[in-house]
Amino acid sequence: MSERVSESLGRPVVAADTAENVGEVKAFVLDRSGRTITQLHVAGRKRSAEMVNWSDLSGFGTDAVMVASHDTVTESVEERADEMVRGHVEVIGARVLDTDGFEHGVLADLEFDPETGAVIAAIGDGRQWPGDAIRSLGSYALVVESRSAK
Amino acid sequence: MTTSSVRLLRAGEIIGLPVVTIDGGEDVGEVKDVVYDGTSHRLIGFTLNKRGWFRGTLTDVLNVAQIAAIGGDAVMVNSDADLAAPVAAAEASALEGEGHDVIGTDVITTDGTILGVVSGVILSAGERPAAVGYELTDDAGASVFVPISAQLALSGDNLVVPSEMTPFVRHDLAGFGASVSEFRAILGQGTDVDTEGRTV
Amino acid sequence: MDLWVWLVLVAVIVLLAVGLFAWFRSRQRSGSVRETGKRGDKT
Repeated sequence: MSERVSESLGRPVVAADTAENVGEVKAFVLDRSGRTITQLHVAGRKRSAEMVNWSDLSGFGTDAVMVASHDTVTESVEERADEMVRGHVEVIGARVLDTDGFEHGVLADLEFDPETGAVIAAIGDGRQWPGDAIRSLGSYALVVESRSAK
Repeated sequence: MTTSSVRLLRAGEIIGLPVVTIDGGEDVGEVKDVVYDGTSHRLIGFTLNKRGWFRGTLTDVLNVAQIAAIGGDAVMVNSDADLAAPVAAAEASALEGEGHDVIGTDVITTDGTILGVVSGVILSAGERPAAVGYELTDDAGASVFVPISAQLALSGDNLVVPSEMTPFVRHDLAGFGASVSEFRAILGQGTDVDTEGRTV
Repeated sequence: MDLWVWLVLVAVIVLLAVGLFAWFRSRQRSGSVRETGKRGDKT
């Protein structure tokens, strides 16, 4: 079972306890390694961004993303999340650069495991890289191990 | 390490490349000067500029030992801890402005043929990056590639090369790599690098 | 009319200042391929 970032953007995020909409999938926050999704940005912008930790999701469905409890939606945004919410670090559109110093176009999509938040594959234009070949995701590039494209 | 031949590149094309961290995906600087040793021809390292046209230079330098890779689009380092203030005195003086630019030097063979004027330096980008050739511009404006060897004599504004080098001169970078390794094999160079960047 | 002349003058001065700054900055940042040792010290 896998999901794609491009297909999940805009999907409603619903609190399982209150059945209310807490927002929608506005952006994905990945850790610096670029291999794990840590948070979802669900509402608000910049300083007033509201986030949900991946560990607080009770399910990532094809029609809606479920949060176990409405009060796990937090407003505090730490540095990494802030970089990604503001777009300083991009996911879709990120430059793909390998460990030998050669570029390979831009990232078109990420395939991930909806249960663990682990990245399964980075998808470029006509080629892809397995999740474990990703070394980091930063403001300049997604760095992948050289010669690991499929 | 694969046994395919090491990539040759024009040193001047490294200038301006971003220096990117593998552990962070951040461009922590860009290459300003490419500095190599005038005797061993090994790459010593790079001085750096900050990223952005209106920003200044970085005091940190990138020593060859900390370079993870020199690619066509970026110079890779493992982390931002790999940029540092120059440590040893020799490295400091080399990377802080001593040394000279060989561009513009006339190149003449020992039998009196003027090959051209140095317009660039050719580097091999392997585990031990080194200057392996000069790119010259001849009087017709065409490029000529000449292998560097320990027998070069540099005096004032002229570079004198042994006439044994003439058959190894090439007119395109693609064929130059094979020429460099053949040339070194014949001269029995003991302290230079082979096509894989290892000391021969 | 005096106001326009003054504004143009200020604009020109600002452009000159920016241009000068850009020129100095680009000279400071310009890099080269350097060989260590002095010219002529090889025999």
